[in-house]
Amino acid sequence: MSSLPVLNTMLNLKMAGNIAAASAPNTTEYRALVCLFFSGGMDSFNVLVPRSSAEYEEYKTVRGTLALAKNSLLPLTPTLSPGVDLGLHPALANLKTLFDGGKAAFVSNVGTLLEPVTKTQFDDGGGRFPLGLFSHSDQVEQWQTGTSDIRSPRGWGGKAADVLHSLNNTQTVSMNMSMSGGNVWQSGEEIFAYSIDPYQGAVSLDGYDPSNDDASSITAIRTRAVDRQLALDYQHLLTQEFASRKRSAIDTYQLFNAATDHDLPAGSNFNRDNNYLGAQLERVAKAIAAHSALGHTRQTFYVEIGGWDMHSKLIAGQNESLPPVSEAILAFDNCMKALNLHNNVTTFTASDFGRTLSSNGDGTDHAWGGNQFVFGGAVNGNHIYGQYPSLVEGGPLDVGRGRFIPSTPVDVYFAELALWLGVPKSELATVLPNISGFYDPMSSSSPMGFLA
Amino acid sequence: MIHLSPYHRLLTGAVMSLLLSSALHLQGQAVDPAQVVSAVVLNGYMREDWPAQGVVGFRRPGHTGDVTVNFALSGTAKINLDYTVSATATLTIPDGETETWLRFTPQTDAITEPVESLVVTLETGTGYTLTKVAAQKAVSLTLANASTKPGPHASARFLLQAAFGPDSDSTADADIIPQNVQQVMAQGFEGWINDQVMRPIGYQKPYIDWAIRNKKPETKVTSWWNRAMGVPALYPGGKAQAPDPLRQRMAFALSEIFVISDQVDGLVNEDSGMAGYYDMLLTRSFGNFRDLLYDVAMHPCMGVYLSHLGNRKADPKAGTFPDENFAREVMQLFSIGLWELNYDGTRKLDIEGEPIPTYNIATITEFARVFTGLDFAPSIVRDTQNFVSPMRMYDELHDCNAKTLLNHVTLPARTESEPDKGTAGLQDVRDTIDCLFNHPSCPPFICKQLIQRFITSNPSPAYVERVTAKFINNGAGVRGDLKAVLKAILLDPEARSPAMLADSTFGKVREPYLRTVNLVRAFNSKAVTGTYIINYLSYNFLQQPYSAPSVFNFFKPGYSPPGALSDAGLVAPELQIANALTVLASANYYYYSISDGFNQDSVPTESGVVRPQLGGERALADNVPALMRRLDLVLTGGTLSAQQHQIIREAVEAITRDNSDSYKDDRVQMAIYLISAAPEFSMIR
Repeated sequence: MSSLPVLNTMLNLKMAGNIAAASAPNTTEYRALVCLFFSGGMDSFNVLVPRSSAEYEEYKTVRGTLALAKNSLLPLTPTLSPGVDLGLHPALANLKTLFDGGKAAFVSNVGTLLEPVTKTQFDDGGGRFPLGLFSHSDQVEQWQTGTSDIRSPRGWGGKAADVLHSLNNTQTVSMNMSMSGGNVWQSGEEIFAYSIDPYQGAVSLDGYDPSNDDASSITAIRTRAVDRQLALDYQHLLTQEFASRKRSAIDTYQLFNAATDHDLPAGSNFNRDNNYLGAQLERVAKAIAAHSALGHTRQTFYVEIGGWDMHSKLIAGQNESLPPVSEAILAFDNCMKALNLHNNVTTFTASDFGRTLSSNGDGTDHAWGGNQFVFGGAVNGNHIYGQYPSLVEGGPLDVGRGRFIPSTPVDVYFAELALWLGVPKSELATVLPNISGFYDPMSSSSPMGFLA
Repeated sequence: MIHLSPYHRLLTGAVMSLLLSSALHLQGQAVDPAQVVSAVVLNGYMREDWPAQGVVGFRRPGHTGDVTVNFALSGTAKINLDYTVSATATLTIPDGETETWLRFTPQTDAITEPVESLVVTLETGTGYTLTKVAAQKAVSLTLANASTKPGPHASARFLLQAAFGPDSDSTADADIIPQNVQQVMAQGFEGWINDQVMRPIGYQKPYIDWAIRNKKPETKVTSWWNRAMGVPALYPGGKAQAPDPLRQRMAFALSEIFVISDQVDGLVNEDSGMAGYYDMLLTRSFGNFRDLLYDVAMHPCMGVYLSHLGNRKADPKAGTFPDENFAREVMQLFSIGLWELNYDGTRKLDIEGEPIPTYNIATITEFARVFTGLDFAPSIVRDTQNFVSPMRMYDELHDCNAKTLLNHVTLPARTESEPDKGTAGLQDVRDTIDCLFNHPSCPPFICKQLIQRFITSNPSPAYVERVTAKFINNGAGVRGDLKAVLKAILLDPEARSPAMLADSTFGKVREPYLRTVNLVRAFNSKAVTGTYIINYLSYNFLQQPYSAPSVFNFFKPGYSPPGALSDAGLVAPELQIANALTVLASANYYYYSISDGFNQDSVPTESGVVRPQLGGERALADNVPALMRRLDLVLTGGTLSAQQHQIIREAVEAITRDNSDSYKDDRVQMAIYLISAAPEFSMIR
């Protein structure tokens, strides 16, 4: 007897919110989250596209020349139909492989929300809406903080680290590591991102060597002086902050470099020289492989790849930019398997916003809800979570030009990830302050169910 | 007599005593070498109207036990009348320290008097002996009168704020004050600004065009550097002209607000067009904001960057709509911002206490219709795109229907010109620029950002309001006069008051590029070729002119670092690019550059290497306090603390003198490196 009906039932239950939440990890089990941020606002309705006849026609009508050919789409066959047949952009074959293998899933029409709102409220001014909708700077920030009612320099990855970092044996190297510089997502009250260069790794301070014991050598003299400079108490707040950042960078380097300077398992081909995302994920993989040496039971990683603000040349732009994504995520997924950490690492995507369904001639403009994906051994994959919207122009969620009111708030998407990382239910509202409007943190069911 | 090397001075007093006491005892002297006291001048120049203290360090090789040192004050300056002092007859070097400081605070009097002198003479006492070096036993300071003209510290500080910092001092004169600092001292702040405003514009594009003609690989960043360095003629046979650092700084500031970047395909190979855009910013730097905003909107590089070049009116048949990219950013970033502002830069609040958005998505849709119909002007050169002329408007492609802008400004339906000269569309653009220019939020929005670029990240609302008032009316009834705005920014009491030097939140992090230009200028660094090919610093700094990662610049004006700064409600935009990578990579860049040149990796031949000229500094290698005073003035405007002086001086002196001359290089390089490594160097205060 086929097990498919059973699986379907399970997923149905999950959809109904009746299944128990993913079990929180025990405190010694290693877990890591990787945030893959597509900066600029990816046009994700050309990533996940309707294939059913009626819905494809709606898509084609509203997209015009920006519509992908139906026969070019890579068909997805989720275990449970989302009500419409969907396909992937043809450049994402590896994502299809992960999806079909049950270890990748989509979250559809997810975006920033303060409360459930309607199109009428949008038009007539009722309801509360996120600050600075459709603006890059605001929406990037909100996709990293989960708080769309206030501007905050602190993101939910940083706040999660504030809660979780005590699980780690050492704090010298921050559990939050960024391949793309400072970012809001990983900034908490106590924990900030440690920046690593995808190509060079951590950077040392040249001419500085605390182990040099020839006290009269120039290096020893310089080292002592630099240490003294950074130990001074600067009354001027900006000066002190600069000094603190430098001290921290020096201290972190030594440990990080020694721990991560090892080859990855054979066959981990990230094509680093030609694929910037691959280079970033390779560096992430090295830090994951070194988690024990770094004293980390929990880690987060931020990788970012830009160029998605395709107001023009959308078709050509995605044809050029998506293949490296496809290449890099498969390399990373394979590497996690080779490290025996496949179930311990979850990667999720984020982006400023979705883009208008209608064209400006050659590209698309800033919009709101979009489609994101997650992958990793812990993902209940081959499934479309959330609700794929009707793309028809003027549809119930369309506030104009195919800007969709999100049907899933980012808060719920992030809550699923935060709980999986081990944030206790009791702390979920600290990490995601607006979660209670959408999900009861003490509920026995998962926020979304995409993680086991 | 036993020679004490600097290395020995660094050993602890206890070890030092053990090592040397028996030897000294044999000579019959009860001298403890750890307790040989000397005096050193950290800052020897004071002025009645400047708060910088005169500082004399009392030092000893060891650090064990309290030692109370007797001293006498003499000279023409009178205590309590001309100055106050932290101690008058004795000063104790506390247990655990090698050095303590005697601090003189100048007093303002109304008397015009000659420059006065002040001498500190160490005297004998118990528990210590005096140095045998006469110059370290008695040291002198000078105290100058108040003046309407600024002194050296005030002038150096001004140049760090308004220009690219002090230059190298000529070796020809006796003082340590660079020529451009002396110029400010002579002209006064306002006189200096007035002189700068009159100078011919240092354009960037002529160099690019010359380089392209002559198949030179140098890029637009080279012309940027040459102008920042004040190179008279940018290329062989080019017209020589006086440097215009104020205008160059202003254009750089504007380039960080009206951002275009070569990080997009359409501009990556368009050096000439981008330099032309920069030249437009230079041209408008002291002009009117309204003209600047119009030129920004119409420049083909901006058209490519924010995709309103080629933007078409809606086509119902094809289901296309106008591109909203420029329409949004011209409001959000270039003119009025997201929130309605008071004139002091704070947000206006509605009756419920909520900030008020300046526009909504419907406004953007209307603005997007304005910026339709623009495309490249016809080319002058066959088969090329015209990046020289402003974009051409085509009424046929422009949405000529009526539009509703902001604050009840509406644009009427217009008739397409026949033949199509784009006059209808251009009138829409002009009226729209006027609408933004006249919006009440425009002056505070722009003024606050300009203050942040020059003076301080967190200006007081009153400061913003004073500058905003100049934007609204320059005194002659003109709105948008950027020359008046810049003058108001630089001459404001908050920018000029020396009292702000003691404020723990005033000032800003100095941008990596500006730090580097200061370092290059301070030592008259140059290549044999005379040009500055310093092109590849993005990795070290996350900053490079013309190459911002997005229209949001290298850093955002509202960036508030988590921790003490955001707890205090402060922003520090430039800290957004000061992360674990860049703080060390930039320190490493200076480490190698001081000895090997600033571009050793990016030029193929030795003649192109930009090397610091360190002759003047080498001459002071044996007089480290004097070397320190010179470097402190040119690199930080004299803001290094006494503790920082001590740390660096002790490190430099720890490099042992020997018979070779190489120790001089080592000492000078150590001093410069450690000042560049001091957090103070990365600030403008």
